[in-house]
Amino acid sequence: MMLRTNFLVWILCALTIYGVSESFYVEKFIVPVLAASLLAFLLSKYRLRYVEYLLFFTISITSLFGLTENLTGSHAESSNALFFGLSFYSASMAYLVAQNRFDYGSVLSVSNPLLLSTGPIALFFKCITYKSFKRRIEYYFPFIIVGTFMFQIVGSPLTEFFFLIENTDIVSSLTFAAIFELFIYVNFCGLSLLIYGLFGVFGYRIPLNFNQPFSSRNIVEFWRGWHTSLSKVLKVLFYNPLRKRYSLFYALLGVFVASAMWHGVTFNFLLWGSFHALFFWLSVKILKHNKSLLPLLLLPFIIVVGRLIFADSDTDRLLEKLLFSFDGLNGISKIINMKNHSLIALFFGMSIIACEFIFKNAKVMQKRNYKFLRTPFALLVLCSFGVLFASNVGVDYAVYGQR
Amino acid sequence: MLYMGSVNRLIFWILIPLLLISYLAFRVAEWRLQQSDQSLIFAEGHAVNLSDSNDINCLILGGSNALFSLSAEQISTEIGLKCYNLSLLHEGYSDEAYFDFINSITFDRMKITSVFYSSIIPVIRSSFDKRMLNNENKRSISGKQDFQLLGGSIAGYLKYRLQDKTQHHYPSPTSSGDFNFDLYDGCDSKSIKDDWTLVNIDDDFRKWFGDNLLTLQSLFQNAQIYFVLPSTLQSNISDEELTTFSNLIQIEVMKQSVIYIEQSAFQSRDALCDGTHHANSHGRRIRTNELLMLLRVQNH
Repeated sequence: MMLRTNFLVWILCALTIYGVSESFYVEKFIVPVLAASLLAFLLSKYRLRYVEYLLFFTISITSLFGLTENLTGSHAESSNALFFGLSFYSASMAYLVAQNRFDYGSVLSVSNPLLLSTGPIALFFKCITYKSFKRRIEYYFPFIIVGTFMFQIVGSPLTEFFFLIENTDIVSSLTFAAIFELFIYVNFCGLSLLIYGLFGVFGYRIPLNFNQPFSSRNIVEFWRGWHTSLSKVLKVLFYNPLRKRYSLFYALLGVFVASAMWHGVTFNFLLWGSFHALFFWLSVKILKHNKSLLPLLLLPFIIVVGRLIFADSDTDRLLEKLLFSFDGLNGISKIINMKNHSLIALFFGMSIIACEFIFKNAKVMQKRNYKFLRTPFALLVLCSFGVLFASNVGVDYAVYGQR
Repeated sequence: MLYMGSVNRLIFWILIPLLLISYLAFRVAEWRLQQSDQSLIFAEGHAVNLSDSNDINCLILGGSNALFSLSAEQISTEIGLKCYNLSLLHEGYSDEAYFDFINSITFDRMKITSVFYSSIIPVIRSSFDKRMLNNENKRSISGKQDFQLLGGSIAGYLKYRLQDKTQHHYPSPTSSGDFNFDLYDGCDSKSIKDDWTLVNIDDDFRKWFGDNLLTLQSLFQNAQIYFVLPSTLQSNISDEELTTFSNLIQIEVMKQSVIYIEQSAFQSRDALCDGTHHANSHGRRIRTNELLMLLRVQNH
């Protein structure tokens, strides 16, 4: 029964992707199913040691050989349809194998075309049986509205700022990094909320990929709310086994470098992983001494500089940026002269982040599941602004999917 | 609190669906009504003008920059060619629409010996991006396209309406296809915004540009094609930047055995009508004179 409904959902998702895609490649849908089926078959016959690590790093190997793009946040769809969604389904299979939960029943959920296009990593895929359709609409439809607002109204117009990546002075590069962080957040989180809501309305629960990361007081809390499906995979595959043998620092270094290699095998990702491991470790050490102000002050620095490193796979340009040379306020003046729609999107995005941070201790924020945006009044405001400002300014693509 | 639940239900089940439905209704209405009469004026004018001319041997092609700023009449008078300005606003919105339009005009394409293709699309980044989008959406020469869930924002429409700008309608083209400045009084060079950026010459651009030049060559097999880098106002682009860019474009043009002509920038707004690359009648004379001078240099 479960297999039949999963198959129906798979077909529905494939049709949805087919409907919104400009091009159709049947291998995009079939290869993940075949790969997952083959793994299920092999696991049923043999005991494959450490196969979860091979699975996790498959995307690193394909990136190393240029078969898939690096995931800097710019459009990273692989030109080779055979590798469509590889990063997501290989990570999800690795997670399930590590927990001895991967079998033939998991094949259709890990290879679900919609999840492969947008995320999150399919750690679980459960039927919701305890809510009526009307209750599901009341609970899950607001996620669709919030997700669409973040992805389309805020995210797409922000792509107009991407030209700033070419500037290497400190003002321009930090401004770009901050805007790019905002873009990645509203794009990936928006899509994740949208997909979470869609699946929920149709009676399926998938991981909620973001938990208001900007309602954090330090980088440790931030990572608890950012791309949680990948964080769980990293925790099971790397943190837990490494922490049993090594110190916290080496365990964190292992986690972040593995995460970096999952995104792409380049210098900037290696640097990004080491940078985050170091500051994560430092924040933990400071917090252990009951000092919370310094980790809070470090938070914006770590996020923005981390994104600066993450975003630029051009090593020469990145190293030039990391010299932090001052060359006037050109970056700011270029932003001021941008189209109104992009500036409004920037304002909306900053407002969402400001609300997350300023009201982080409010009751409505406690569960960190975007309830502050899902109240009827907030939804009315989002819908009104959405209707007024929905436009075709900018480019819409899923920053994390497809690869 | 008793009423709060009812208000929330009213918002969730009535107001939000009403907002979403009204957005959809706006998009449907926009789609049904979308059609630029301004663009059609020129397309229809060209079709009428060319229906009874068999002696045309030279064409000016391109978008509004060529329509406003080049004169087929002046070229015909000064170098003895029989030239016609077949430019359209927005260069016909999409490549397919513009080339189909040229194909549909009843004149002997084999008699054409010179084609001056002056386009802003390979120069201005936003124009290139818009062109790619229009090509994707298969926009027609009237601007009509398939139904889209996204378009211009409602806020943008409201702002435009509230500004209460006087709309100036463009007149039909002259008998040589040129913009008829005698019948137009809407030039206002003070309100021109000069904030464009140069296009990024990458593989996508190279492919698009090369394909377009090849299409022109196949349409006019007996013609020498000239690609003319149009004159624009360019206060925020340095001469060095433009020279580097021009050299790169020239390489692309010459790959297709097309002759490259670079026109200089407009020196002041006095030569402009209503856009950075829309000359007024005075600016048109200056730009056409320069083109003819560069052509003579080229031929010697």
